[in-house]
Amino acid sequence: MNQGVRWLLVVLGVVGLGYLGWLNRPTEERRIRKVIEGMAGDATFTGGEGNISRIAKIESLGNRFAADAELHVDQVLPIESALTGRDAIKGLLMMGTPQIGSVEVKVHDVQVTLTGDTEARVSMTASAKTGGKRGDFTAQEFDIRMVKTEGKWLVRRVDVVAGFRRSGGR
Amino acid sequence: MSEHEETQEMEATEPRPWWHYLWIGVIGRSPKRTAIRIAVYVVVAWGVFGYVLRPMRVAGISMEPTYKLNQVNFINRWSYLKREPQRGDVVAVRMAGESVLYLKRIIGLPGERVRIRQGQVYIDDEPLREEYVKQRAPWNESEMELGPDEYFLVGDNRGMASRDHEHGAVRRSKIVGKVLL
Repeated sequence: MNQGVRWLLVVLGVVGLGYLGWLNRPTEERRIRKVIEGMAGDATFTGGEGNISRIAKIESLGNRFAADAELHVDQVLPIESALTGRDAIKGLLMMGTPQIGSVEVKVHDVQVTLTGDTEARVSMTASAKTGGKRGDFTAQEFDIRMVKTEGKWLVRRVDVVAGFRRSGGR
Repeated sequence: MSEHEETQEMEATEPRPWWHYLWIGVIGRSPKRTAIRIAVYVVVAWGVFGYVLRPMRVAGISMEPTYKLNQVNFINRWSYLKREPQRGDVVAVRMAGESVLYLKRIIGLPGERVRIRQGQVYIDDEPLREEYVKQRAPWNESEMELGPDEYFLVGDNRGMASRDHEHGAVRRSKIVGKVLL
């Protein structure tokens, strides 16, 4: 291999690495995705954790919400008004967690749209699979609004998107 | 016959080593042709499974006993290119994307009135015959009129509680395709 070809390969390698680096640069969309994926990780329990570990995970999940966050779940749960405030959301999570054995939460089809420098909208599907031979599987579509506060992306509002229009006679 | 020709003839009649047959079996007599064939297979599989038949695995129990948990199937995305969805079709419905899909049966068509009384489905006040339903819990759903592009979908497992079973009207644009098998 002559000197010229060798140099060409080196240049191509550097350009290729630079392109890969550019593709994987930390954009706001990527940061938001990481927050959403982190939420799924926080909501996943193996069933073998102790109470302290569970509380730590719930605390971490709760801290991903803004102080004035709103949770609108009226489409799937019989709660008419929205749950408002990080502490109220944490309280709800704390109440529900002891009843859960093992559950694996995953997020799918996360689509991030930046609506401003510090605001974004996320559309996604979350699925939860509980343990056991015939573990229950459930999936839900969400519309999430995020806000960037002190350099951190936090969940400002969560709306449950109904998959089906119902007559109301549940 | 020259000495060179004799040697060639002897080589031709000698038994081949086992790996030779393995090579022929796996790679073929022409590696170049095999490589092209593999490339064609990959492109065809990518086209078929990426754009026409979407593989899926059943994850819930709402379509039992017709489709059981963990059963593998395919969604035909082209099934409604030339015709509209029909009553009785089992279809996949998208959520935020197509990674997770609902699998349900169409029971109500656009413009129809659907209600459920004691587990019996009524379409425009006529009871619907559903041979695929093996168990019926006493579901009750007040009447709803479907819009011009809405279909009423429900799973075959009516033995489960209505609140645990996602069902209702969806827009045509949400239907990804029909289940193949």
